[in-house]
Amino acid sequence: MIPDASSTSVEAWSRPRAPQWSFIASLVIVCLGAVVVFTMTQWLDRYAVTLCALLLINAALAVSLTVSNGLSGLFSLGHPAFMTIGAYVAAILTFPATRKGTMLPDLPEWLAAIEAPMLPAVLLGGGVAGLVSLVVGYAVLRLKGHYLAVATLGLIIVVQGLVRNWDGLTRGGSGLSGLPRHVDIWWAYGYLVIVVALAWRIKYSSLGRAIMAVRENELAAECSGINSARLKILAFSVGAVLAGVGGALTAHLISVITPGTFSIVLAFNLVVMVVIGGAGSITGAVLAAAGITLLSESLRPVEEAANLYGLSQVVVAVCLIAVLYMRPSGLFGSGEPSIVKRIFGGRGQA
Amino acid sequence: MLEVRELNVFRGATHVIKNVSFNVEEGQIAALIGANGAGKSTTLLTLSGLLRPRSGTAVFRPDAQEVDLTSAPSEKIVRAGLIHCPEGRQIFHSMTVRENLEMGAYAQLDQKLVSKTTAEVLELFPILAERSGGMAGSLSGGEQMMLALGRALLAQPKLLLLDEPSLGLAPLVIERIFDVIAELRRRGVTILLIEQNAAMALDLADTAFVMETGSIVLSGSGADLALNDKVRQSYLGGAA
Repeated sequence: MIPDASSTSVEAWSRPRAPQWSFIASLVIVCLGAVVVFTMTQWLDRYAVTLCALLLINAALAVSLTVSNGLSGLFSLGHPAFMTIGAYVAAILTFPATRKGTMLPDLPEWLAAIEAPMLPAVLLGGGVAGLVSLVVGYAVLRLKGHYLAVATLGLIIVVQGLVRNWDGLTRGGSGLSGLPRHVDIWWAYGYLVIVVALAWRIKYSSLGRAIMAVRENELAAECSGINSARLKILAFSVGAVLAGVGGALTAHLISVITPGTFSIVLAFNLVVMVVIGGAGSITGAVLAAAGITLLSESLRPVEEAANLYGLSQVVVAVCLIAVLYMRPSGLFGSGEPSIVKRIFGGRGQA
Repeated sequence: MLEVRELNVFRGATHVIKNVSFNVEEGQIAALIGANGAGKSTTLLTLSGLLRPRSGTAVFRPDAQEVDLTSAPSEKIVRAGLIHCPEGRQIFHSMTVRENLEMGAYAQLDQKLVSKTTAEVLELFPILAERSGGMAGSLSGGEQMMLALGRALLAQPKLLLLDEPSLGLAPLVIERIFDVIAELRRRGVTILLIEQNAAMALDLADTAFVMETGSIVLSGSGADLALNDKVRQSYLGGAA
């Protein structure tokens, strides 16, 4: 006996979706975003535009953390370490050759002569961060839960220590200032678009489904023929590459990089963004990152006026507690709001 | 189809599987019965490549291939057609029923075959079609077991390892599950079944093995073992 329900739902399962429509819709959204960015560059002052660029980069970083932590269920705090690596690699490449000789005496000759353009420098920064994450991931991804968190926290400290003490290559604690300001808000916007598109593609592919399956139930995932160790390293490394790129962009936006620029506090803030948005939700990560950045920046004048420094951190912490109290799985859980999914063409009901 | 020789498995320092040897022939249902902690689940985990033995061999021979289960990675073992349906159902709770079934077909490349098998699974378990868009975690225990079985079937098993499919289920549901297991044998799937419900397992099995503290102490046809005094005393609750 074959009930009707089964045959119709089988058809529904294999029915192809319409990718063209969602592709055009996404393109329209990206163009609209570009118009907004253009308006900002025309109307806002330079400080505000830089702030918006930072906001976009933060949103992209939160999305990249959603890939490596949210989808896979890993609890890595290592993002600032990979950002630092990416930033220093890119900074050493783009630094004016005339100043390299005196400031960075230990550079090999071929590196000292190079004054790379931004794009290859950023890509190399991301690439090196990715390579480091492969090596580190192979070792630490055997750990679970807070053990992994502590190990990746340690990674931040190790990287900071290396950078601080490797004077000849990194100029130690005083950092590299006067980096060429190659990055403007358009770079930040492009980075956000690429990161979101990539994260979306991963999430709604069989690869993303497999990564989420590992998060849900590792035993069952392996019994379904999924190599869970490889997928965890992959998710971790994709996040690390994107973090490396983000670090490189930030450094060239604010034109300075020091060992402390990307600190444990940043790791905490990024995790808060992912948690508030909902682990695994791309929309949530973008909105939470934008919200938190706006909130803490708009509170800055209040802090100064009222002489209440640290107020913004208190407010962010209170927001975190409030969200966790009212919506324990974050604003959007691990899914996307249906309107966003309709526009960009996600599948499934989750 | 499956040939296990002198298998020794350790978990940490504990010697869990001691010199275990047995065969499963194609088209059969083989039952592995025994008390808690006898090493039944560890045996299955080893066969599906999730645990590695310290010594011994385990070879899986579907068709003309030969897969060394002691060294092949688990995803390769799955692709060769040895599918492990682990203890406790292990479904993906926050995924939909449909997504759970799709995960079973993760290693499958032939989309036509996948939709054909999906239709077969939904015919076998109509409830899964009804609930296809619902969260798997909201299913009842029996429905979850059906989902776990359905997911395993979507992986195109040639040899299906079932770890306690009756665990925590109502008697009527257990009967339904066992009917399906018998039906699978008719369709040509070889099955290695672990059960605490020895009576039902022996009733169904072509061959059976009794495991005690890591060793196989008895083997024979299901019917023979069901009559064996020692088995009756220890596992069937009958008088000697």
